[in-house]
Amino acid sequence: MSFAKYLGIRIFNALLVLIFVTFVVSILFVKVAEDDAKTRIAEIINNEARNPSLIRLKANDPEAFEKWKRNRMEQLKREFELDKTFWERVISKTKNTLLLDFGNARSPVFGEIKVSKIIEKAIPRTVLLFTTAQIIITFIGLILGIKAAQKAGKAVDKLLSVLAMLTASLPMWWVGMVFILIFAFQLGLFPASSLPDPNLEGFAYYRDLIWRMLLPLATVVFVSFGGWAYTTRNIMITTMHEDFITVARAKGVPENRVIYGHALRAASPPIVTNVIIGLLGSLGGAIITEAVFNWPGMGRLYWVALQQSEVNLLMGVTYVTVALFLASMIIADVIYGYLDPRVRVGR
Amino acid sequence: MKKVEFLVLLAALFIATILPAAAKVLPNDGQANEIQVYAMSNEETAIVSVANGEYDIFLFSRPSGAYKDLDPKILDNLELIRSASVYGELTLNPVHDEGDLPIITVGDKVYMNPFAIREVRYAVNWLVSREHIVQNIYQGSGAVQYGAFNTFYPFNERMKDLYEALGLSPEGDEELAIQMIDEAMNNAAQKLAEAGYTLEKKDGKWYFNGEPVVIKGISRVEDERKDVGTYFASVLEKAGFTVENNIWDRKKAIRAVYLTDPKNYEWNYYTGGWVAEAAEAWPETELPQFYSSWYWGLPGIVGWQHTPTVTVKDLIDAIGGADKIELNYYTGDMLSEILDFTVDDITMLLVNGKLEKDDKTFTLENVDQYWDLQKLGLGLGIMDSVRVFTISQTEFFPVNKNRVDVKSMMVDPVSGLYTRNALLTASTPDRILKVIEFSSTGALFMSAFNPIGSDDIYAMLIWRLVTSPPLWIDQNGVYQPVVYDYKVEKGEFEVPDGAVLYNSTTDTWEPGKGTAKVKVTYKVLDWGKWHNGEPVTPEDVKYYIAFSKEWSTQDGEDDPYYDESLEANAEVFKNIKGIVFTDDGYVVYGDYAHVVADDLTASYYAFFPDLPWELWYVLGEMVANGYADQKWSFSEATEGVNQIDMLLKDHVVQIKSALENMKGTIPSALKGEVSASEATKRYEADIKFIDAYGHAVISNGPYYIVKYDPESLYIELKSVNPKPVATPTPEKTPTPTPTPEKTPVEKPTEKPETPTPPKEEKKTPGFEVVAALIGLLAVGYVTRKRAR
Repeated sequence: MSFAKYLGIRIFNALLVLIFVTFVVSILFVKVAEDDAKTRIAEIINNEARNPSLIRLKANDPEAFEKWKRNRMEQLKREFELDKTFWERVISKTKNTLLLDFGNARSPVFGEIKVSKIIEKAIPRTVLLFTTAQIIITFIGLILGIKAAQKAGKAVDKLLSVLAMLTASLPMWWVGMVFILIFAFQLGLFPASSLPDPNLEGFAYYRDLIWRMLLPLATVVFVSFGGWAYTTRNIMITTMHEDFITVARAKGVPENRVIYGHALRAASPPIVTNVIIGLLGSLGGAIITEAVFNWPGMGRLYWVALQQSEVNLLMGVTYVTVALFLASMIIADVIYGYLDPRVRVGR
Repeated sequence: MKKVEFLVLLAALFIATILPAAAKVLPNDGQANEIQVYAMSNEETAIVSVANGEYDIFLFSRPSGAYKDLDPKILDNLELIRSASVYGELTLNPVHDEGDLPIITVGDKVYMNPFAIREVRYAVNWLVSREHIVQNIYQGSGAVQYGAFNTFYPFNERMKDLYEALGLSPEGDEELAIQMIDEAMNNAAQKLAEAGYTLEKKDGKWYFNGEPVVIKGISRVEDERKDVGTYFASVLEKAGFTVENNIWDRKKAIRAVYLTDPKNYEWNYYTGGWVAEAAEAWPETELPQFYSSWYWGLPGIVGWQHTPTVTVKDLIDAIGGADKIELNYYTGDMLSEILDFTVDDITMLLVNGKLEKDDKTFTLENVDQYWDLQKLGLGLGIMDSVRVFTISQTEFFPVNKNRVDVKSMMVDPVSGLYTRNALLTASTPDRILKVIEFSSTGALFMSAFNPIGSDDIYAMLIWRLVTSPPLWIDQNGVYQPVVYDYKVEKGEFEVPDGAVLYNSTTDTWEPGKGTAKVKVTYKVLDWGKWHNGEPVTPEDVKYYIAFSKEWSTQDGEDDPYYDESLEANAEVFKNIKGIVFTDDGYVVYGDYAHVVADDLTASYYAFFPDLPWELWYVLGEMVANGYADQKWSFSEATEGVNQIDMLLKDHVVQIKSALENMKGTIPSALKGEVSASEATKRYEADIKFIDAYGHAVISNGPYYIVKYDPESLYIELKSVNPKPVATPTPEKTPTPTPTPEKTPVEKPTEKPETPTPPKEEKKTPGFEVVAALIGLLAVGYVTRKRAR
């Protein structure tokens, strides 16, 4: 099988998965939104019924009152799309999502009403925070992991193991709240809210944006670097026990070259794969962490969509997240094959 | 701080904020020159940020428990403003089969429903300890509530003798309740036996046809109502019932209680909660909505409905005589005339002003009669006990007391700071008010921003600051003049020549005629200006009335000039016989007059526009006929239909385009009233405003929107009448006093020529420290590398 054919099959499979996931997600969200919509309609009507004018209307002209109630419920049903059957909604949402027609949200988010524009606004912010954090985590993880692998069994290695376990088991949102308490409120070093100051412009705005980003960035890095470093350490230790490393050392190759030139190169496929998946995965953001820091990224967008039962927005965000994940798998596959000739197909 | 001290402090704050509740002249001018509104998704961060001076007010109330464990240093900077708008109740499902027996058949099975027996429901008033609910479950954050009236309503004092006469007490009386239940159940057992069923109490448990009598509860999981439901289940168990207490979320609970036929018998009790919007002087809605069968839902809004049968005579007998409560109208023979009244009769009489019963006509005539009926109706509702009210919950808004002059704020005794008056009267030394809202959804507003469709609390608060209402509610719940002064005259009035009515079918003004029962004269106190600089005119008022009539009335099946959400206003127009427009307002001749409350009558017929006539007209045309190949709506956001949002860039572009395309067009309702040149000038002023500020919220209120940044969850309002700034802010406040901005009110379409004052520089000394540390680390690293 040629590489092109292999790639074609992978892409085709990914598309099938995307279609299937979109359909299943559509069923789930439409069902959940339907239940929520019925509840909201009841709450809205219950609330509006407390209008004294309506009470008088009911007392004086019950028929007119029932007409109001009927019309209002019909209007609300239309708004929440309950005037269509369940399967009509599911198929319509699936089809539109696959055609990248995400439609509109019911109420504006981030100042936009078109779902595609809302996502377009959220992604760069998520990249700014989480992808930046992922890059930093990758570098720190590599450096620490390699160091620990070099000194396997020694104090550095043991410290890293403990640190990895500790930081990986802390919930990111909790660490965020602790950091806000210490660094924002107690020490006054950073602002508590990461929303940029709307009263600044130009360089001052970007400076303020980066300044506000530091605390959430530090949180994400703090919670995640340990696990990454430990993974790198394990991969490197396995690689460094290979025969070719022993041969390289026996030939008198400097240790740095052994590590970076030989071992890391051989260990790169799984590391790079994880990096790619991590990078693309970071585009999904983190719901609770973004809520803690008021960061208006993809995670917060998901939260808004869930809270308001915005099915179109949920479909759009899920679709984009799944598509990115599938893309990352394919890219990782390709790069893995490039880096490790042993797993290439089509030869 | 100890819990006791904390509660004493809260009580003192409550007294300090509620006592000076004497009516004040309602302001239509804000103390702040600038209001900055931010939003945050984290409540704790917001509270601490207010204490630190980053913001002045957190516009989201929290129970006292949220403040209890705060560092005293944080608490010392806060003034806690009370809100008491939420109240809780236990809804008891009284469903039963036809007839008198307390049984309900579902499929093949027959169940015994204890709450089908009125005496059992009534006993719940003693079975539960409201004191326990308030003190232990809500941690003291509330007050006992016995009936449908929120405890903090100003008129609730009048009802105290009724509560005492009924023997209601905060602690309840479990023993008495169980006695009452046993008696009622034993009586029911006799009737059931005649029908071939068995109902008996064995070893302290009730059994129906050999099976335990099961009570199924629905307790809401989201808040303290979960614990209220659990507590109720425990006391019901003591009374001999087997209880299944289901803890459900909002969706599941509301579907079961309100949207499912009670005859499905899925639940016996539900922990309900309600929200009151503001203080009320006249309770118009509570008795019909919570106790009557003709209005809303008893218990749900679909399916089987309960019919209350308790009469005034039953109430008088229960309290041991009419002299046990203060009745000023229904005494002697007057009382005997209504002894067979049920709560349905009383509420119908209160709402309609008259009642036809047993070939007699009863009319509502004076204020004594009104309050007597309210009291009697409340008593009947309590005795019927389909809803057993338990608590008026108190929560608190944190305000930075070093920045805000709390004493000068007009706080509503029920809604706290969720009132226009409070924000208008909030004063800070630099006249900049920084408000932080709680955004659970991550958005500033949860509905589109237009004067018809905005229905979330924050959008409505902003609207109330940028618009001028004709009348508004003061701290006693009485409508007071804001734009209009008014005079209500009752009697018989011939509708004069010159009075008109708008015909929404022909789109013309037609002569009004006939006689009217009330004449209300409105005089504008100050016309003011639109934010675009144009004056507010009588034509704006006239068109607004025509617009309201047009859009609330469905002329035919496919009337494009109709919005379902405005249908409720149609009732007003049915009662208007004619309107005479004057140079300083208008006079309404109508058939509806509140029997006792002139202010309610005045608010009923009061119209004052939120937008200039040409903007209403253009928006209306966009909605009715579509624009730019798109469909539009004021209140509906469905697939393919845009709900107009006057802040959203894409929509503002279309609104501006529509204004340009329709420039100078005069609607039929104003033909002959406005000249072409005047009309063109108005359109141009709107277009200029949109160009200057990027949004289309052109209104006539004390504030206008200068900046809207939805990504930063920020909106900024500026006063149309800025005031001098006092001496620089005290040391505690990190915000420096900005240069007062000269807002040219005469030309608000142009951006102010004075330079924008320097923005607040927040002191973040940590930035330099951290940068220095990073620099040192970098130097150290490089040095080490070179040393190798």
